[in-house]
Amino acid sequence: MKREGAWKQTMARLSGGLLLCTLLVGCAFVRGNYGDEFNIADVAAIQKGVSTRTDVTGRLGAPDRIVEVNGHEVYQYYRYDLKSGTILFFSRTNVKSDDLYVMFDSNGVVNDVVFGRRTDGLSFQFWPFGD
Amino acid sequence: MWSSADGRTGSAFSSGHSATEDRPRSGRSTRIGLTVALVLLSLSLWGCPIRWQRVSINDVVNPEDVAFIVPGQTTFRTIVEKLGAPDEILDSPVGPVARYRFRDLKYFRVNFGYAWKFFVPPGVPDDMVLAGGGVGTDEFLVVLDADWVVQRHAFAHHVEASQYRAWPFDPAAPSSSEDPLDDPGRAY
Repeated sequence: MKREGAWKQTMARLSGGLLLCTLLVGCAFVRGNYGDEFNIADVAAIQKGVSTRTDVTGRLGAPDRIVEVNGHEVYQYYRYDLKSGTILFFSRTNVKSDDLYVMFDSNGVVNDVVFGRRTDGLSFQFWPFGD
Repeated sequence: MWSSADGRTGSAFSSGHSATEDRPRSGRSTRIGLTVALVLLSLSLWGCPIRWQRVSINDVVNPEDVAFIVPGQTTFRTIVEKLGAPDEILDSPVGPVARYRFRDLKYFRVNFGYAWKFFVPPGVPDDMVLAGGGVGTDEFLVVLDADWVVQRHAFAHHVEASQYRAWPFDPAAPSSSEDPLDDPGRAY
């Protein structure tokens, strides 16, 4: 009787495992990113009116883009983060970016720093409808 | 295969609880049937003959999010504090332009030949796919002056282009009687 109970329990676990495996087939969770994550300490170390182009590139490396705006040079750094979920028929991929702009005056000294971090709110989703 | 597991699976499920030992046989069968149906359903869905896919890049900026902006008064710094950094800053003859963008891609695909694969040998094509979608971009533009004060702002809405399309072909062409070139009384 005891042996029969153990047998039933094993079969229950096997059946549950099989069901779980077959239900999970067709699911995928994917994570990807483009570019290095910003080091907040490096961003905070850039001081308006003090830091120069050399200081900025020394800490953050070469910018991804250099734009001339309003007669001033602007360094743009960005990175992208991606989270994707797929369950059976439904797939949703969310991509968000972090952007850092460092604006210089005509002497090459930092005029302003603008940093936006959207990737903190990035989540895995699979439902492709709605917002 | 499934019928051979039927009896044992059912009794095994009810072994953990003494109460379930007394459960009517019909209830046990229902549960076994449900389990088998779920397994068969999930097995049949391998490869997913239908697919809805969506890709969203960054956040939507809504009109109510930018209600605080007053041209001639609001500075770029204030906008960044409320909306975050823009996706792009450009130069223009009138001053800097900040662009916030939200991209949305929707794609639908159905493979009507999916079940065919169960009847044809491996290697024989078994796809009959209809698919379609689109990419739309919503954009919020802010034009600033030389002092980084807002001059004007505007939305560009193209996100309606992002749609799931089950039918990839063009709608039916108008009938020949509606074609002005077929009008016999018309002089050219």
